[in-house]
Amino acid sequence: MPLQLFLNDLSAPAAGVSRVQSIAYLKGLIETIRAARGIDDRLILNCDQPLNELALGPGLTIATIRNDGECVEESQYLKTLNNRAPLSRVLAEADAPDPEGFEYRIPAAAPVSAGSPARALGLAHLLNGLGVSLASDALWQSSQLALDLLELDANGDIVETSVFARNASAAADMATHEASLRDDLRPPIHNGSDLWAYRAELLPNLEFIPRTRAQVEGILAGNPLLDQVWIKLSGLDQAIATWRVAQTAHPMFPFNVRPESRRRMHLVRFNDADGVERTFSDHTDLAPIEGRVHFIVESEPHRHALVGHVGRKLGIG
Amino acid sequence: MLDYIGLENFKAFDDIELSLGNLTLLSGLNGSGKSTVLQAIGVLRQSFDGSFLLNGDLALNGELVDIGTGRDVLYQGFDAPEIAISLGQTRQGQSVSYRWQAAADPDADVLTCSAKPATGELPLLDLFDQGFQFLRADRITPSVTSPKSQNAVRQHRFLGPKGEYTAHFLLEFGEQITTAEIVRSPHEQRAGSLIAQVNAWMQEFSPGVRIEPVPVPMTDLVRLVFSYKGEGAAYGEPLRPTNVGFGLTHALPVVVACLAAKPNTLLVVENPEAQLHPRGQASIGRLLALTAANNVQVIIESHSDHVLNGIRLAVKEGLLAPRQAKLHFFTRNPGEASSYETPALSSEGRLSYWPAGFFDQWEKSLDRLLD
Repeated sequence: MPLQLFLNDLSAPAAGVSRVQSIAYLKGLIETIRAARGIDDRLILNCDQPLNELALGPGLTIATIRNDGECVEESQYLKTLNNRAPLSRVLAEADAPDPEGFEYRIPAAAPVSAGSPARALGLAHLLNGLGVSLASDALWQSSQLALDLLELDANGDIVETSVFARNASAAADMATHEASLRDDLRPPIHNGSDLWAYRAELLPNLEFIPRTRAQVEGILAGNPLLDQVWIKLSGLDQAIATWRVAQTAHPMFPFNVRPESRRRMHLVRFNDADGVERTFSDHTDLAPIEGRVHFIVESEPHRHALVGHVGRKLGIG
Repeated sequence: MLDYIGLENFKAFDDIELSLGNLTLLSGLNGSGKSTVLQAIGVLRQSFDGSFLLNGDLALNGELVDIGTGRDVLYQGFDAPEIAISLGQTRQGQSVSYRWQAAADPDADVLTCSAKPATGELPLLDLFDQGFQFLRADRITPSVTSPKSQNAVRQHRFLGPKGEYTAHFLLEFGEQITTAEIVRSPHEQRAGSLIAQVNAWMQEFSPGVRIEPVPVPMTDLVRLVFSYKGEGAAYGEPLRPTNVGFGLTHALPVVVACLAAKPNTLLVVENPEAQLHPRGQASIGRLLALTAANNVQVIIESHSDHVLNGIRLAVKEGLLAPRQAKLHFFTRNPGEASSYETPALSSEGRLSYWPAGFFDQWEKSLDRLLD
């Protein structure tokens, strides 16, 4: 999953902020996002309301500032972002816990927004993402924000714990977060054997035919192929997870997927676990070698992808 | 409708099989191979027209494309000095392919096939049928008069590779052809004649313009008369084509080709956006998408993100199914064969992903502007 940013709407400035200051907040937000893009240019900015409606001051939103002919380039830049709203969308797509079962709040002792529900910052914690705030208060300029996490335990009792969410309100804050964000974006495995052993948990929407076991387990720790295999397999898994079969004939893959050419089709016929020969035409590339992941997408009896080959392009020696 | 085109050792390609949809958009940097795909189509058609193809020959030079000789057409990193072009089509539920393979004699401009579909097996593909259009990027520039061609226009309903017979086509068929409802301008739903719809769509590029083909007496020439709406319902003095912008002249063949196209024909257009302002580019993208929705197979090469967006909006509005559109983005690293990526469209008109370099220059420039 790409880096997830969560716009902290609690940092919307209170009344009494000048227009000049509101515009400075907007520009600061954009600088922060641009710096985060240096870590992952596929990042997604999650908001609880349409971005254009973000309050920047009395009667001021991104839309009204843009309509007044100011910050045109900044407004255009925001439109280029992968922007997702409301926050429930990321929960649905991330296979996250039931949102009724937990709640994040700003601690009661906080100088602003004390005790307020903190959904965006909470999701930054829950999904190992990054909260982004307007620098409207010293609290929102902290790189780690304390939150109270309230959860229901098995007995139905509320359990409260203190957690910290990553937060940034300026480009310079990214230096603080870069290492840990990059760590979280790395595959949660050390080698191919791990990947094979934990495939059911890590890649619940993928199934593998027997021949792929040796291919996956053969990827040793430190082999740059491991990152690529993880990116492609986790991308496939995510695409299957978010595939709405009734709406589209194929999942929306986050990378190039193409069918095998007719002349090479005979190279991609493999037996599945039942010994039935199948044709694994669809494939995606694996850098840095001339590699491929071949798979079949199926919606029945349940939606999944059956992986038939992980490794070097077939038929080239 | 063609399902795919395969190219082996053909110019920039070592071996590709490119899927084709109702609408196929080819994009990429200059020299990345997208024009090569159109050239291969042009070679087959001009070989068919020149009676070469059925004899098993490929004419590299002709009315549609001029590739040169075998030396020019052969991929430099070839494994065998033979080129091949394949076409795939679904017929009665069966996937059928046709393949022409020819030794690339370095000095020959007509290549003799060593393998070809057996005589009698080759059906009348849309590619070889009446109604095929192939509009090159070097389309006509404004001129006072346009030529007539009874053979091209009356026999083949062809506008010419440069759109040079567009005026003659409009003269012959402007009132005769009734356009399909789906391609009609949203501003003119009632009058369905070709000329009425051409004029309605041209409003998208130059509001108030009206175009009329007029024969030049005692000659084989046609004049296009442009006039602009004046006060009230009246039109102003007629203008010579040379006194209106290049954009109208360049767009006119594309608009006519789209509106006149019958279902199950093939329309190939290079740079449909040429000389048009951004709104016009988006409009022509939309018209091309509507044409594809009319079951015309449309293959375009474009550098315009506005054309792309016109197509995406047509998909979002439900006018063209996302699976009917194929977006191929070509790249070529120095010393390597061309390759391509195919981001998919969702029903909301969103792309499944954006390949690096795929219509992203605007965003890159914007990022630098914010520095």
